Amino acid sequence: MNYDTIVAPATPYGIGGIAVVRLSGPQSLLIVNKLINNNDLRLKLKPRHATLVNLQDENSVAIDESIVTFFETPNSYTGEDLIEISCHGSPVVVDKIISTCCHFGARIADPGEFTKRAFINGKMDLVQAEAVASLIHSQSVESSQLNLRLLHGELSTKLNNLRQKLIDAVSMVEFELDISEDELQPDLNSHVLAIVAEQSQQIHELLSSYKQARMLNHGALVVIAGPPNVGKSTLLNTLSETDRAITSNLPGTTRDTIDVPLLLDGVPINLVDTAGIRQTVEELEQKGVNRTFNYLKKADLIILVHDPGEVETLYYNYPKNVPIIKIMNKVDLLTKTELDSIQTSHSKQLLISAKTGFNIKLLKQQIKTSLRISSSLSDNITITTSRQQRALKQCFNNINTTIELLNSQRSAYELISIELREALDAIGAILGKTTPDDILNNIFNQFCVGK
Amino acid sequence: MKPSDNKFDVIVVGGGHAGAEAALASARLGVKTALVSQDKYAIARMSCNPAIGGLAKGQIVREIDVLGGIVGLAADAAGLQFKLLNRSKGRSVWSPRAQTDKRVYESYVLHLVETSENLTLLRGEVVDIIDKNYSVSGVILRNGERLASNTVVITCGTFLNGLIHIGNRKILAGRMGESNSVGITESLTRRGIKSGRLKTGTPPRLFKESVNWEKLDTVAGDENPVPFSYRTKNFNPPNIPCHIAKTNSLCHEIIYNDIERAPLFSGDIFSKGPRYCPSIEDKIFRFAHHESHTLFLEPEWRDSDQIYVNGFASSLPEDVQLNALRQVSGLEKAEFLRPGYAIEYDFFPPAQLKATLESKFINGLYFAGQINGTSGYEEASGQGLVAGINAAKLFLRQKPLTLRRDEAYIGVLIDDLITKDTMEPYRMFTSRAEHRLLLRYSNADQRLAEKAKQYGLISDKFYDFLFNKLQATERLVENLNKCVSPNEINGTLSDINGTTIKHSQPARQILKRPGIKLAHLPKRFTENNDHSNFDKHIIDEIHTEAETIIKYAGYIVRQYEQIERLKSQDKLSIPRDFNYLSINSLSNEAREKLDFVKPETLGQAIRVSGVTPADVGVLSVMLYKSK
Repeated sequence: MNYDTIVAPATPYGIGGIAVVRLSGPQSLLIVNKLINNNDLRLKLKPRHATLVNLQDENSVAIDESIVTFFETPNSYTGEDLIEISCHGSPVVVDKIISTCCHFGARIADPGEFTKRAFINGKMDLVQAEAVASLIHSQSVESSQLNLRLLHGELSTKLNNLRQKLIDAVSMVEFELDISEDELQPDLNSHVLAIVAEQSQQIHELLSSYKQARMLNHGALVVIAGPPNVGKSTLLNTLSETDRAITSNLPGTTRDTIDVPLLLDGVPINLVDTAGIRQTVEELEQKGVNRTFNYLKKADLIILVHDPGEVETLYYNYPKNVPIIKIMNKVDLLTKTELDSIQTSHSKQLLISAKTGFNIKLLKQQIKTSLRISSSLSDNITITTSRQQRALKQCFNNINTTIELLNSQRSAYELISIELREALDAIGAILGKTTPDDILNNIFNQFCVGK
Repeated sequence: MKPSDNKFDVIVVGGGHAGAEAALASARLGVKTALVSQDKYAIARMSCNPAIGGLAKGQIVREIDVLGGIVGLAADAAGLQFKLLNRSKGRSVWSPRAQTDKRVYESYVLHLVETSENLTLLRGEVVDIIDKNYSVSGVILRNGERLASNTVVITCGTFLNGLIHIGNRKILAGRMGESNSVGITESLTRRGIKSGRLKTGTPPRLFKESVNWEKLDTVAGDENPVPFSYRTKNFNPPNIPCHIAKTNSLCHEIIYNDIERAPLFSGDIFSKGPRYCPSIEDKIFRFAHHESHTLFLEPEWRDSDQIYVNGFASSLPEDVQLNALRQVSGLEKAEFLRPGYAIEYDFFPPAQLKATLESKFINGLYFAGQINGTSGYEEASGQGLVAGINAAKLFLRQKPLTLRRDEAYIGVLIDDLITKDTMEPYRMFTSRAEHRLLLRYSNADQRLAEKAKQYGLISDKFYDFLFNKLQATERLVENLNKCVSPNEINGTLSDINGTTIKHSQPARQILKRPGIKLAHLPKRFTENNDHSNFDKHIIDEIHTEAETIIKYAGYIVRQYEQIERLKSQDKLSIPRDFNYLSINSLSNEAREKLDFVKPETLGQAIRVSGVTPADVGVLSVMLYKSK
């Protein structure tokens, strides 16, 4: 039994009361001790005792107050030394704990790996082997489907583009090392540098977007907008199940924005009601409209409300990169026939009644789906899991070393190749493996090889 | 013939580069070996270019040398010019290459074969194998004669159902002018071994007198050539230049206009050819924007009247080839000794082999060389060596030799062959080796000398030489931990625009700086190192290696860490009869691929094309279950 130590969240991703992170492997105790801030508690974790500790990262910055429980081999789920950390249920805290554990030598577990270890260490019946195998399979299928969903938009394009650029850079290098028998091309350095410098910038942006983790930390910004008097404030009240917004049948009742934080089935959002958008001469109302515009620019999701009486007039260009749910409110005022006809003529709009609650459940569903599925929650926030973040960090380090090597004028292209391949391997953790054949194929496609 | 004359410990079928190396390796291990070839003057024939070594291949030659093989010795004896390629690039891709005299090369190897103890050269064409209960027991020749042996190495090159194409002309042949070999493919496929078809090509040969040499530039080799083999004595090769010609738009136009007449374009050939070695028509078609391609005119032997046109492989009709070539400056009056041609031949997808190169289906039957879908003399020789050694080891009931990916290009080669799909003839590239930095031509001895000794592949004398050389390298590296004072080094440092030092520093720290070489350091580091008994090129190599070990220390450690992580997977073996098809949790593709390849270890399984990490997770669980 000579395994490395693995770490992974044991609870689902998202906001909850408590989240559990598990470590398993011979280094578990050693690693967790390094996270514990309280000197007196270090090295004193007793098996099967829950201990309240303060956790800190590798730079001694506090992470969270957590309960740590140590299960000594062989009396644990996996049969190895295993530690469960119960922390506060914020993805930011969970990710921080995991990345600190990784910093001290743990590795993020593969899908099903805890169970696999439990099986290998004889903690499970042999007849469960098939079950474990199919679990690994289903989890990896699930996670790849999840990845696909996460990756179907901009992030996927971005990463694939990044990968292709890196393959191009490696190909240039490999063509020189592997195929060309001529002297080194003088402009190879600048060509490779141009590619990797741009990619370094790209990854930097992706990474900083993750650091903010704004949406999950402070909630997604969901803005209700639309012309005056279509029932925006009523919708806010219905969704938040409060009476925060004053409603009336007079257009322009809402002059300021109203901001309600709420959990929509566990997804934190800030729901904002805005002043109706119309041309107005009144100064106060104009200010409210301006504020609306500012909110729209920042929004993670826009709920655009109309009512059956309102002709859809586009006097404002809504931000292009923000997902929009278009709804038609007040359908309770319609007769059955009108409802049917409007359903066909406005098929892209969700018909609801904020007043009666008609289709509100469906709207909530759509809000959740839009927030999760679209990778363009905002232009910045694109990476969402600690696995992606670690992969990109690794990639970032490799690329920066590449840049250093290129700038040192050492023409150490074989080292550059190692760095770039490791960068590709890192991205491979998200997109799938890049093999030597992928690189050779690219060389054969792009360069005229052979004497 | 007495009955015992027909019985051998090892039979090698085919006398090309793989066959010769296999037979000699087997004979060196002291077992009674037969080499069966259609023509004794075709032993180790260089069918295509007159050169040994080159990028990645030079490293293979060095590895073969340390493992006791002969390709390096033969190339040193036959070399017309030597060059260390990639000198301006990184140390791990420095690769030696020699232009060689084909006749000297072939006669050198033939001499070894004829004078080698335990080795009998037999003339004949093997048409069938004899087997019983999935074990080979001998071969049958075309004349009906039977030879008995429980270990047989098949190395038939491009001869199995070989078909030459020149335009729409088709000739049944193994090489131009040599009859092909029919029967073995059918004999093996009857026994369930799968076969496929590949294609390769060769350029035309010109009459020396028909070339206007005045118009061509020359390329010479290195002035201080380095031999391939550590065993070569009195190395003093000539430096005979080859010549450079350039194709032009007229030449391209002629080819382009008649491109439909090339069998690959007309659809006559379906088999895959090597993309790294494209025909001239392919280059012109795919890279139409290139105004010119370089041709190297290489003599096939010293004072040869036969000139090899490197870079002009073609299967166009003879008249088109000649007409196009005559547009090239210097070749206006070119005359062919023979045109370029393409050849299609049978191969056996090598995923059907173990890492020892023994068949997974028929015990005692080994495969090496082009029939495994590879290309190149060096790739063939490397496989031949391993197959020959293992055939002999099987007879001797000793542990077989396998080479790991991190210790030899031959290891990368064989591992790739047995785990990956063969889509085109396989050629070695340094980029195929994930641990390229560790696989230097200059450290083949560090990597393989111990193994060579352990398996009894080299003489004590040769091993002692390698051992002493390695000791000298280690001493030098150790020595470089000593300090240099500012006095000693600052002059040199400021000469090359480096930052000077204030306090004494270990010499290795200085050496790690870009641009600093051992020669920049005070002489005391290299002088007191007792190198007196080594030749100059060996001393140079010791210095190069010490520099490399120090300069690349960080990366070398990183590569070793990676190797350690992967090692456990290669230790976990998979039973032969493991039933992949019954594991529903594997992906369909993985199930099919694994069932065909039947990897020997979990490490091999991971490298099978189309197998994902999730499949490997499932597989490892199922392996524990079956234990």
